[in-house]
Amino acid sequence: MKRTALVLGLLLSISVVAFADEAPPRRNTEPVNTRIQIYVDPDVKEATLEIAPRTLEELVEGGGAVGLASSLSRTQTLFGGLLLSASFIFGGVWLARKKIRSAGAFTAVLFAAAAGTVLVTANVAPPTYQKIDSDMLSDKMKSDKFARGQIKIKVGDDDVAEGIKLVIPMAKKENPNKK
Amino acid sequence: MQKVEQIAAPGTAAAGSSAALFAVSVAFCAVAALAIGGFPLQASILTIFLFAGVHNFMEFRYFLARMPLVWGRSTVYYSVAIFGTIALTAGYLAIYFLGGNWLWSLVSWQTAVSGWNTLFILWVGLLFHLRAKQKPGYEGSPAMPVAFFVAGVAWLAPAYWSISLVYVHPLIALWFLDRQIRRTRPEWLSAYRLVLASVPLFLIGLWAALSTRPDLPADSALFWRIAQHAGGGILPGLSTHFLVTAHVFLETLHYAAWIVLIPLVDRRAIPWRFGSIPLFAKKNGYPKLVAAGVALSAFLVFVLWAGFSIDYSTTRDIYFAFAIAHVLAEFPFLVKMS
Repeated sequence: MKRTALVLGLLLSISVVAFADEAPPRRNTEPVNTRIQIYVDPDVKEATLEIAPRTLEELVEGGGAVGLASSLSRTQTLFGGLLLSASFIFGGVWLARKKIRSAGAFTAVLFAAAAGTVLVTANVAPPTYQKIDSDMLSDKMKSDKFARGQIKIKVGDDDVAEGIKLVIPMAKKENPNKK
Repeated sequence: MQKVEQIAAPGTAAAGSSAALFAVSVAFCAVAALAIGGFPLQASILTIFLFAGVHNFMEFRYFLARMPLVWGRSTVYYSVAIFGTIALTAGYLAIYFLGGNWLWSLVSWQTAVSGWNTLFILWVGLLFHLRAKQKPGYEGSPAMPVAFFVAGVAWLAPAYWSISLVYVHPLIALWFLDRQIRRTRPEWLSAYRLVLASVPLFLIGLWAALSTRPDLPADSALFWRIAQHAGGGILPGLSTHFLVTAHVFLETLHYAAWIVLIPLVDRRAIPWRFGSIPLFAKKNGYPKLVAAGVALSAFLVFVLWAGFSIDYSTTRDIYFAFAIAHVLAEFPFLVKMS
């Protein structure tokens, strides 16, 4: 017991040294896939780009983040694959233990369901939402093809759902009575 | 002739009560869908405020009545069930409250969440496996292969797994109700299943009406959390107006099932009928412990109401963290009834 405690203590003390010698975190060069929301807010006076804390964290961590927006991490692939393999192994053992007739029926249903998904997904309508493309821009913007100006960049608070939020002020309309 | 009338009367009464159950339930769904669709954020706040604690109390009371005093050949089953519920709740709370710690990176937090998901799914699979083993003519069970498969999918698509849990949990109450009706009110089963069949129709109706509406305002932390809870951010093609409405609609059905319908179907679930609780009424039971448990859970309902009144957002967060215990506790009883 004492020996175990001593070894553990030694390991822990070495780990401090190991952390102290750790190389600085590498600079992230990997893009992070995320979402952007664009709002037109009549109450703001200057454009503001808000970055969700989570998105910022993903950027800092170097594209290793897991989740819906980013690609699968190695840990996810490893455990997902292991568990799916275990599923097929245990499922196979279970099918082998069952009578051949029901196992055949089960396999047939499985194949029919798998084949059916092609038909089902083929008929799914694409989701309807406003895309980030040139259709959302004014005719002037489409012809000029650029806009420039000052913008604030800040890390958003909890109100930023995820990704990046761009808040744009309302354009001032000319008063027709003014001469 | 008199005999025929005597035989026919119960059948007519059963048909009448089934028709009433169907009509009232469908009307309730229609009113709920309209009201929630019109004011989804307000409905979310109000339903959780009013019914969250009460439905937990009713669930606890129902489980208490279903817990046998002597476990007999179900000793392993109940031991696995209770240990799993306690351990998984502790793990969930640890991940939830330590998640903001600076020592945890996003990756390690998500790995911990996926690890918890795996343990949870394998635990449910084990419960199904143990239950199958108790049945006569046991020939092996597909429970564990299915559990491994689901756990694998949960690793590969963690966000979709989490959101599916949010939407599946309200339906579990309806599954309980189905099992309970089959046991104690079989004459209502057909009408009840017709009501169940109407639920997807209501959801399709809500989707048709609301899926292209603008997103709900997310200009406060509470509104943002409500939208996130319902899948805003995970399902970008759908308006949060629809998502929040669908979630609150299903939650409302969940609350209605636990608070009204289950006690109506199973008289043992009526809170003040302590005589129907084996742990309380039977010799060698634990009447003081049971009474204290019921009193404490009733007290917690009032604490929750007070908390919501003082600081709704914080109480909501704390409630949903601890509410995992009741989600987990549902599985052993549901599996046992299957």
